[in-house]
Amino acid sequence: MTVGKFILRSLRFHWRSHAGVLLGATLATAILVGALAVGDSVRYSLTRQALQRLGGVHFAVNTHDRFFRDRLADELAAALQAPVAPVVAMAGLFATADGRNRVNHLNLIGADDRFQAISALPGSAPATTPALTDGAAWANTEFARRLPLTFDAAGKPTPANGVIRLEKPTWLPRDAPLSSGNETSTALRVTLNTGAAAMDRFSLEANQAVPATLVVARPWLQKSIEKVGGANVLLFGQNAAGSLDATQVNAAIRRTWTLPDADLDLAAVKTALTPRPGQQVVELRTDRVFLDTPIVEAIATRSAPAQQILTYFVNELRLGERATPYSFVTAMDRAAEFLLRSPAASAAPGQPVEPLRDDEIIINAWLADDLKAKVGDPIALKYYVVGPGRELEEKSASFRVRAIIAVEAADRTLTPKIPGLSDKENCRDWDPGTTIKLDRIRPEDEAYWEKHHSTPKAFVSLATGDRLWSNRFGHRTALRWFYDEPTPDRAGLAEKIRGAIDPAQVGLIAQPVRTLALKAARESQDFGGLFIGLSFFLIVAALLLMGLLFAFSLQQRSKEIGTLLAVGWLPGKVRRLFLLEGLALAVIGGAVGTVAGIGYTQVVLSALTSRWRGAIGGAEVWFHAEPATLAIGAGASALIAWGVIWLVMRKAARVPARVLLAGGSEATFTAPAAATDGAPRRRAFSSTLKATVVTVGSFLLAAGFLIQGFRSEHASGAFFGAGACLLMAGLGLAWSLIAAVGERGLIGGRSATGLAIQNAARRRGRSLTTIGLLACGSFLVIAVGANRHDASAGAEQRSSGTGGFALFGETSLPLHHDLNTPAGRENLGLPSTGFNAVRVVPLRLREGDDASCLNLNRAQAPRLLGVDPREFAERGAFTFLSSAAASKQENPWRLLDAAAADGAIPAIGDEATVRWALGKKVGDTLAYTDERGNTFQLRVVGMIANSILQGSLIVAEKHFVARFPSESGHRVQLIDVPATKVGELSETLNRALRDYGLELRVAAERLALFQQVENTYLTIFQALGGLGLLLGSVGLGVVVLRNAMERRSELALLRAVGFTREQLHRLILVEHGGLLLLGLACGVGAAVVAVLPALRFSLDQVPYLSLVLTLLVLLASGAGWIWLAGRWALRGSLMRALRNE
Amino acid sequence: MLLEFKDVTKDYGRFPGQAPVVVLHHLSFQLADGESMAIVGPSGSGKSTLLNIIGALDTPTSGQVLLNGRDISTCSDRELAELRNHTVGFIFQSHHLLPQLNLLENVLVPTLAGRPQAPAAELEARARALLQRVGLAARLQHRPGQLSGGECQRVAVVRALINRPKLILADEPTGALDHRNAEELANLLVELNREEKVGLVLVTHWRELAARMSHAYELIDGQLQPVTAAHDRR
Repeated sequence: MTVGKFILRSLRFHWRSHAGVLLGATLATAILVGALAVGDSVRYSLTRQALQRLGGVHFAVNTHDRFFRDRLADELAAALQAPVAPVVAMAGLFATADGRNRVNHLNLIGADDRFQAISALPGSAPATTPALTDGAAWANTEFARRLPLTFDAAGKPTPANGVIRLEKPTWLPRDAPLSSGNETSTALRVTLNTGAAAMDRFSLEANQAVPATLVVARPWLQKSIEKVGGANVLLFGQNAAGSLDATQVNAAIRRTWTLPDADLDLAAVKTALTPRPGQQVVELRTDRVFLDTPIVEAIATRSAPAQQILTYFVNELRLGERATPYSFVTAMDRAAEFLLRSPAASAAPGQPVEPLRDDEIIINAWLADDLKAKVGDPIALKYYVVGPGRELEEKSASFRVRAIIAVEAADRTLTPKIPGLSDKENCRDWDPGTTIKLDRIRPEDEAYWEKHHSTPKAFVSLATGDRLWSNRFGHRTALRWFYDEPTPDRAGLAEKIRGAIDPAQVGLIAQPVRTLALKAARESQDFGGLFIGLSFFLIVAALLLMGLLFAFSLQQRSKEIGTLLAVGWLPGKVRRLFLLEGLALAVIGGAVGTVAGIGYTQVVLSALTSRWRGAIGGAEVWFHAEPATLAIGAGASALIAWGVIWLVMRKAARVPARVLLAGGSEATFTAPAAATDGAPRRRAFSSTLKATVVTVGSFLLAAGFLIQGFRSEHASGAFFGAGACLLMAGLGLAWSLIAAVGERGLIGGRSATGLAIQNAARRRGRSLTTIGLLACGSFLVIAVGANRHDASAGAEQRSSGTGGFALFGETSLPLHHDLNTPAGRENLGLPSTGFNAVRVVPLRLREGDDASCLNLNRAQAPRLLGVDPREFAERGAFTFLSSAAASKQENPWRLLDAAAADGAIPAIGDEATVRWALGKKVGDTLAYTDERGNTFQLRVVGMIANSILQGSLIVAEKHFVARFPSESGHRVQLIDVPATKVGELSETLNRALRDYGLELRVAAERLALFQQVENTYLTIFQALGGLGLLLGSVGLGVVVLRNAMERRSELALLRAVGFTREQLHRLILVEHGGLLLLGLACGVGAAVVAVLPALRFSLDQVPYLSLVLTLLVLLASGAGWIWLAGRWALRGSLMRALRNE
Repeated sequence: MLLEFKDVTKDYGRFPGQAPVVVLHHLSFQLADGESMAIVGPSGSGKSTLLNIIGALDTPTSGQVLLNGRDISTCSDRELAELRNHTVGFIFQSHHLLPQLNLLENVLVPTLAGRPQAPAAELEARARALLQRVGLAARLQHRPGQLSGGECQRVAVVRALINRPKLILADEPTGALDHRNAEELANLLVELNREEKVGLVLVTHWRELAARMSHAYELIDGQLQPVTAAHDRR
């Protein structure tokens, strides 16, 4: 005979009473293990998806609208001994020939076999290797789903062909001055094919949503978009040793790149405009017109000092009544020296030349003649500058003529190649994108163009040029070097220039996309934690039920405890014996619960991919559980369950053996006062004091949480904190109430009701546990119900999540014209009328990771939106949860305009984006890379409540264009329109802007889409709460049964003295109905108060009716359980119980 | 001296404004090794309280109780448990056998309380011998639920003897038995007292049984009075 054997015998003998305990432990373990395994599964699935979307790609260079030589891929592959694939990646849209079916936000990939090989998952051959022939487009599954594509018996897709529309890449960003504004899109006719499994999920962005992709032959695409030999994406595989890292790749890029990869052209120029006669000239220029400022600074000021030139297109040169339209004016350093000393200049050679002052201008003889100008005359100059958007502002400047030079003193080489302007033979063919009035062009202007083409007519100092025409795209159009030798060392100069430039400045920087993708998956939304949070009250309910049942089991065995104490066992040893028995139960519960937890995970995952799909943004989830997770879950829950058993046990065996032996089960934990030697009043006082301390302490803590909730953005944290504390306070109050009833005797007079109430105070622990179980369940159900709101309620208000905007539009291709102006609308093919009450707020978009609740990955580089902050500030749009504004009077949107001393750019985001997707708060910074490869900081200065802007960070347009000058046009439109006109306007816009891939959505619907995620979580929460309430009801039923069974002899006595069976049933109903009411009061009261901070902005959206109905259902169900259990307990002959007594 | 009560008083309910209920009133008596003593008295006279104090399950309000020469009021909880385990053997009106254990295991339960006094095999052999002595050798593997009340009570007697106590305390051991079983158990207790030289304090309403003890007292008003009229009141 050993203690172990004793325990085994006890486990076997008491299996019936242990079954309930085991069930509780199993349930708690299953829920905990299930929650953790859901977390594992989501993380595993995101990692798997990340690897699927990247295939064998480890690093990638993406230069967006800048194109480099596709041969760079071969050179890098040779340098790195690793596969490198050049790709042309374009955004666009697809439409069938009849225009009925469209796929917006199309990912168009121009690729070759290298892409096929590298994008395939390592170790797996592509299912089919598509033949990338001209005009053939291979669709991925997502494309086929969205179009949709159907297949005939032979597997041939229908529709078989269609048109891809995309923005034609230009050298000059479309927002740049002098850029041609028209002909932004081009159409490519393709035939559709499917089955290229290797690149089915390919994407470089850490989004779980698979983009709709078409893959076409790269050479064909290059030709179609007039970028022959160019690519804008490089994909790198791993080398054979698997040792390649981003540093090595970027070092190889620095060694290998050439000037043409940065759109730079170093060429000999035939010009007489040299410091000394006969010198050779080598010029650095770019097809992008403006040389990037960082490049200019790196070369001209440090590496190879050069003459700097800025030639600009002006609208008018005027002297009095005479004006010359549309001319080129050049700003250059040492302008006077060059122009006035040149052989063709009018100044006498050899004489010292004074530099040009800021208000001086040199004009050529043709202009002097045209304006009838002479030296010293004032010349007024009018020109356009580009604002933060694409809006042009005409400005003017005044000069005094310093000198007049011959037309031949300068030449057309000073003017950059400007598409639509300097490449036109006739100036009537100009299409510079600026507002040019062709009727202003006179025959003499045409004659000048014919004879001298784009030769500048006037010259100013470089400083003046900087002051007037410097813009975000650059402030130099050329750099020149002069050589006395007849054959300049152009290669040497090129190497010098190359050495001075970091290729990252032109976007040639490899990102470790695989590492970033795995990081995004690793740091994704912690579903394990989330589900533990969601299941918390359910786990508590299961453990409470388990504790209750274990206490029952102990009470049943009180005489056993008494016997052991009487034969000389120490109380501690008796407790240890039962604790070991409890441990065995907890361990068995842990083991069984783990298996059940795996099943529970499968059920949750199946719900997450069907009914609760909204919670994970429709992502695919595969079951996966790490052994360590299962072990931790099982171990932790067994430990917690054992802890609960310890809590129950800690008072057992403290009662004297003689009491246990005499008093039966009722004496297990609380000995009758007369039977013990302690001071019962002192104990009662101590118990009341404890209850008071718990109640008051919990109330104070809850008040703290509530104040925090009202003051800050942490409303959800405050909800949980305040909720738990209020529940504790409620339970403390309930304990005091029960204790008071127990101490003071009958409440409700000497009546049957009074007797019932008194009975409720007999087993305080049991009654309190029942109240706790019911409170947990009802708290969840009511709190969750109150949080469910309707997105459409109040959607027209500026303070709502729609910002008061009626429509939210996003285009696949940017709009370069202003929808608010008649001219802009005309350019976009919109009717001139019907827009009186319409106002559009355009936003720029830099694509990035979707930082909304629809993306489970941790966004690494979120989408950026650029807006003029005044648009939101003046409207008072959206509601700020918190901001860095110094006072309430300051509109937080205006903070976006400020420039921080440390260079950080202010940004505002939706709560879901900032807090959940990025894990940041107001004041935090986020590193971001601009299009020149420079890292800068975004500082969160405000957080707005749940809104249609979720998924992106919003910055001021001026900061946006400074960092991303190439991101031209606006892709997001927030539209104000009266409700009555929404339908009509939607139809008009959809029709006119379909070639831009416009996706227009009613703003409230977009908000509802995001809220669907929240509501799905609430549904899960509510389902788990319902389960908790079910456990509470089971607990209540068990307690009713237990109480009634224990008191069968008492009840029999009452029956013997004349009570009817119905009266006894009523007695049970009143006693336990009181517990039910107390439980619901605690839970509902705590829920109502705890949700106040979170709902303070949306009290009008609370579904009061459904809450009242829910409460009534809860009451009815609880009463039903009591009624049933009472009926069951009173069945059979009660008098037999009396005889047994 | 096996047991000595010196001026022992026990009262209950010391609440302000209420007179305490005195159960034992300046009680003094002695019991030598191997002697037996019966205590009779009406219900509520304090017989069980007296027995509980002897068995270290309760403490006196005042006075001194010396058990096997030790003042039990100076003993720690651990020492009291040891006393109950080694010096005293309890027999209750109800047998209080553990339903999950068989007879042999039930008998051995006291041996698990502290450090074993003898090797497990020796203890088991003693348990078997004692069970044989009470006529239950064939029922060793039976559970209490499979035995009659009298048999269970005999097992309870064996359980009380397993650790070779010096004193058996029996609280109305025959109270729940029919006449025949009560007789058998009474004989057993008397025989054990004689054969094993174990002291015996017996609380009973059965005066005939009381008369078979070395001493017989009646507890009246908290005092022990020698029993004069020995007639069966059962």
